[in-house]
Amino acid sequence: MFIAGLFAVGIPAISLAAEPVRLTDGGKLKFSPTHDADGKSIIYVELEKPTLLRLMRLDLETKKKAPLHEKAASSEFEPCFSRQSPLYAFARLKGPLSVAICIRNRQTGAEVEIPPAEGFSGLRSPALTSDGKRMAYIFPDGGGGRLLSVASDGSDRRELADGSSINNWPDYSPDGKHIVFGSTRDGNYEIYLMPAEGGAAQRLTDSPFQDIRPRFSPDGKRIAFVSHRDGNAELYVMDRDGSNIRRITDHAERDDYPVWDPAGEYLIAVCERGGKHDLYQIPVTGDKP
Amino acid sequence: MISVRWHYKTRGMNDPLINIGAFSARTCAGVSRRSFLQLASALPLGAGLAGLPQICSAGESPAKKVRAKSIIFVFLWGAPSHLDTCDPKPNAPSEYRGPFGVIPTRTPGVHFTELLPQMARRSDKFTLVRSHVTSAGGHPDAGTVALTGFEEVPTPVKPNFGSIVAKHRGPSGALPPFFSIANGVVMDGSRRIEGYGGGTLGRAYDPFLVGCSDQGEANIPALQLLDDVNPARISDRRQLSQQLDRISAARDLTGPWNRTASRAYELLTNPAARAAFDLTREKPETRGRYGWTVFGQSALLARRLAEACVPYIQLNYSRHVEAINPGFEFGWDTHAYNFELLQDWHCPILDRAYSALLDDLHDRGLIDQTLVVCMGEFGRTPKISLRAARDHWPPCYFSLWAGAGIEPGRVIGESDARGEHPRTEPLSPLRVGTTIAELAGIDTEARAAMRVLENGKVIEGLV
Repeated sequence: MFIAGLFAVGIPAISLAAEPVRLTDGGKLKFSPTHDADGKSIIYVELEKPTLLRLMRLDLETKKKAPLHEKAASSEFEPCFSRQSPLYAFARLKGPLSVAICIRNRQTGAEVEIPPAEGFSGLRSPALTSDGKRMAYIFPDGGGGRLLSVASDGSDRRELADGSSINNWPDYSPDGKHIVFGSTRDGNYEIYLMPAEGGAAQRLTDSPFQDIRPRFSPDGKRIAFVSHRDGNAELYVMDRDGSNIRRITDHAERDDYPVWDPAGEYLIAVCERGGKHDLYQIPVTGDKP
Repeated sequence: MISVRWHYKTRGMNDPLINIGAFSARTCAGVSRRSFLQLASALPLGAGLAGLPQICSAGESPAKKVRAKSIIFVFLWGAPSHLDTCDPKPNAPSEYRGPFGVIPTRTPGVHFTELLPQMARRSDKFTLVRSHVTSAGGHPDAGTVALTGFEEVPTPVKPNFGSIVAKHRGPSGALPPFFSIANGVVMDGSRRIEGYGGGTLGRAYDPFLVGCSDQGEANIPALQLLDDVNPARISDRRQLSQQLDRISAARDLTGPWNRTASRAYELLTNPAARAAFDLTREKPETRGRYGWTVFGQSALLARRLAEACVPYIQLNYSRHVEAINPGFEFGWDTHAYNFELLQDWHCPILDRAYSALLDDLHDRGLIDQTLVVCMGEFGRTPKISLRAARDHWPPCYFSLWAGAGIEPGRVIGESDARGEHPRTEPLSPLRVGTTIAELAGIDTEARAAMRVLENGKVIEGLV
């Protein structure tokens, strides 16, 4: 049983128009899918070989996949795209336990690199605004994860949340006015919403198990996320204010890394089925608030 | 350099080919990897381990009662955090406990983090030890201590637990008595763990190395030395044997590569031995239960080797210790990305493969004669580091023990409120090795005769 809701306690089922569709095959470990700017391809991460994570592009029309950066010799992961600019960002392994974030112009190939701190330090979770003018990311520091933002040229660094707790997975609202993110500030991973320039954060979830990887819908009215609240990693959708949580998947295996399709009708996610990891397109039509 | 993979192509109903390797072929244009040695399997395709019972009988265990005919030592190289896995501290201050929720196991009063739900549901199949300590704080030395019971210095390095078992058991038929499953000797950076092999017992008791891909293709690093193999197609065992004999004759037979290479030849030319490596003989559902990952398929390979009565199998989670390092496999050394790697990658893979391994051993009636020990070389800092991760922590860590008649569903030892130190008797790797040896039938007298595991005591409650 893939479709959700039947076994959820207190979380309603939703009306689904179609069954999930598998988009890739091969079953290799995959992570972090996202749509590219024009929505015609999905960029995701695949463990190409035991020593290399590679950014892959899946053409949704031809179903062909190919490396995004064919010559990349070091692992690259956590891609994100700006909807209205030629910029995209990703994490790049620079050395032993040392990860930078790169902002790249897909038209010119020009790159801006946000370097990690000295020693073991891994920047993570880049998120670009739709207009590509700013990027939020996580800098692990002070025992937690500082939520920072920079201009797309790497300048004007601002702290949006300090490192007194672990913050992760920021995502800008489509209008760029808010950020949704995960944080341990109240004990375990929950999801919060706050103004894009920082400030008071509104808690959206409350579960003894982790609620992680929030992603705004294209219209900004809903948020998809992953929760372990029902025993393993499943996909959920809630309204922007944290209400109306509904479970999208229900499977003994893992469903993770949701991202919305540009029309807001589907989630693309990495689903584990029969021990294989592939991208699936999962319908969520009919649940718009 | 060549890489050697084994996988099957179906040529006919009962006539499969084994691709022994992808070899570098010299051409006018240079060197290309374009050719395979192909070997017609003499074995019928079928379910289970066709041909392997002969191996078992050839390597029958010693006359005295032996609880563990095979040992699978699951080595979580790099060291998982005990707090984020099997010894969570939900009541510790936030800078210790980490971000994960806890879930009950089937053992009353015992919780794991939410990252290991399948293992939590199987806690009635293993016994958890929560009071380990080790004497070394760096990976190379701690790795040696974990695998031998002793530090690297003073030299000479002591033998791996597997080498001790291998020497005690002697030859076990067509298969070597001690396997280490990884794509080479386990490493920290460019340095191997000195305790990987025979140590004072000699290189004759080094492990036979075999790697496994995420698709279940076995590869044998020893055969990567055969870079002058002619890539001509070989269609039967006799031809392959002749070819390998020619290579062997042309080599310096006293060279250090020769012993393992010779054993590799023997495996290539023994159908029953080859069958042990052929994961395509398993049902797809079985392979899927372990997960289509390097560790998952390696765990399945370990089960097949145990089923073939190989006395000791060291199942390494990764070859390299580093969690994230260019050109290295992704191990458990999570000085950065600890929480991300554990929840996204390492724990789901471990949870699935370890659970499948226990289920499979139970289903096949092998668990009573197989010991499965799962552990790293130390723990990780209970207090979260400046970089929101966890560093090395030798004073406290855990292990899991299943099979070989060990009463499951228990906890031995206890750590303190923050997981910093054992509250109960500290249990060293020497105790681990001594316990393994005892369960393998190597008693105090035998250990003394071999001059191994000196002054070691068993872990009470496991023997």
